[in-house]
Amino acid sequence: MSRGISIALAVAAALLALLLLLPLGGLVWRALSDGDVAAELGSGATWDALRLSVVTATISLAIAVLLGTPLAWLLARSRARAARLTASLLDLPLVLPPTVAGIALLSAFGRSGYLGDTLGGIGLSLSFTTAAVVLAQLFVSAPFYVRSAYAGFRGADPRFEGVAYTLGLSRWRTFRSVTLPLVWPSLAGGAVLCWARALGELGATLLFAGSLPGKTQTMPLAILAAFESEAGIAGAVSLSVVLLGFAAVLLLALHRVTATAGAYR
Amino acid sequence: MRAACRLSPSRRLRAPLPALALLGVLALLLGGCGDGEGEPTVTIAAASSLRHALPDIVEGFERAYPGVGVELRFAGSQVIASQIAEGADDDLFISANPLQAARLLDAGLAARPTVVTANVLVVAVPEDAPWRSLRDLALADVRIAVGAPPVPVGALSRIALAWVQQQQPEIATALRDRIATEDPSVRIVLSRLELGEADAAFVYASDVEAGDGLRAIPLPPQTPPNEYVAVLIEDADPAAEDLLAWLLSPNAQAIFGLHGFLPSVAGVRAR
Repeated sequence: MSRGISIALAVAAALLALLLLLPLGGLVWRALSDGDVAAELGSGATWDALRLSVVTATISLAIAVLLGTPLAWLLARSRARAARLTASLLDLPLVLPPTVAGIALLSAFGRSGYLGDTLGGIGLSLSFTTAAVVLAQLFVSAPFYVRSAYAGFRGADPRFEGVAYTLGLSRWRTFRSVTLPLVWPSLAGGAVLCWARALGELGATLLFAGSLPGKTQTMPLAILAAFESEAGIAGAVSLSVVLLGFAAVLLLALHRVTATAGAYR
Repeated sequence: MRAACRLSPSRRLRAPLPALALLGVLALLLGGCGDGEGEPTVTIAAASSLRHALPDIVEGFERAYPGVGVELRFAGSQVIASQIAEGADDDLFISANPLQAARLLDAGLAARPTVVTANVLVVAVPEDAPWRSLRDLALADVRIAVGAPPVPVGALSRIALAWVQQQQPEIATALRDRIATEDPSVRIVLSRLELGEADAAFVYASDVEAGDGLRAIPLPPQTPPNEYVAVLIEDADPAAEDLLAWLLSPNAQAIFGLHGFLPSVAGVRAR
């Protein structure tokens, strides 16, 4: 590669990295100058919202991995046209503005949604519950995991699996020792995206689950409430920095875990 | 399996090109729209709850002051105040939350605070609902939506509940127990009724007037009304002063009344 091209690449990379990082720096700068991060960290309400956020986002991720891995594998290994079509359709929740995603969830699972009577018949009312928070997060974040896992499975040459079968390995053993090491980076990357998206979920949660402290008010909802309050931008920014700090620590930890676990083959 | 072996890297890359080209064409087509509007002279940024009343009022103003164009935009008061503080180029700001107007006044970004109208808090229920009073609501198994405490409508709801508490404590307790969500804006509170997820919502009388198929259950009359404060923004167009005066005219006040708002004078005196 010529020197000119290397420099151009470096400039392009630096530009985007700066574009993504500068606003985050701005948020921290603003919180330090106008806000009161220490006061937010000392408030029980902040911890309630943070705990709810981390717990629900982690449950969402667990469900997405548990159900999304088989889904992505089946879709990737199927030769049916319908499988490709389904894979594309499953990306659609990503397109919806989150508020619309919330209305969509209500229209299916809400009290007056088309499954509302059926759910109500067995005594299930989802809206305004913590379960609704998880469902809203799952709806908007699982496609990130499924999409990434699907790409991973499609990129993994199925002939390796074929060879493993002919050598007498069971399906589970083949998946564990052949397929999984091949697709691990895709699964791990998708999981990180999925978890992060669930943690930041706002619009769908607000509409489907409501906003009640301790029950459905996640960190993004608490930030929105702070923004609308007298504390205004300063309060919202302080809370955002708390969320950012936690997310940064957890994401770094997650990267470490996935990096070391990736080396197990 | 065999197809995967035959695909060379270059063929894999070529496939998305038509799709990318299509996206590009779409973007160009969509980007071409939306040019060539007229030059408005006065911009009003107003609280979302004025969405129905204000266009009618401005229509009257434009008839009385031909040659002055008015552009309206609506958002939450907090959002608008933040935008103006960050340099948004509005002439007049009508805030549903006096605190947000005060913020701009304190910062020296606005002047001439004027109460232009006021809004009474009520409990909205669907028109065909069986509940007629707070007692009915307290006895039924209902879901109630309110605003979050830091939001004006939420703060006012708590004041109203405190008055209920003084008069009928057991009803206030029952109502509080039935609160299913504390929402960040009155619009979201109202949407709970529209989407059928809540049975009752603490909103303003003007919301019931604007809404479809809603009925209002009154709250204790001691609950203060929510005042709308208009302020002139720094370097406002001179015509904005005429517009501010027009908001207090009998014509404008009558339209406010039609949309469920209180006259400004009553709003001021009620405090």
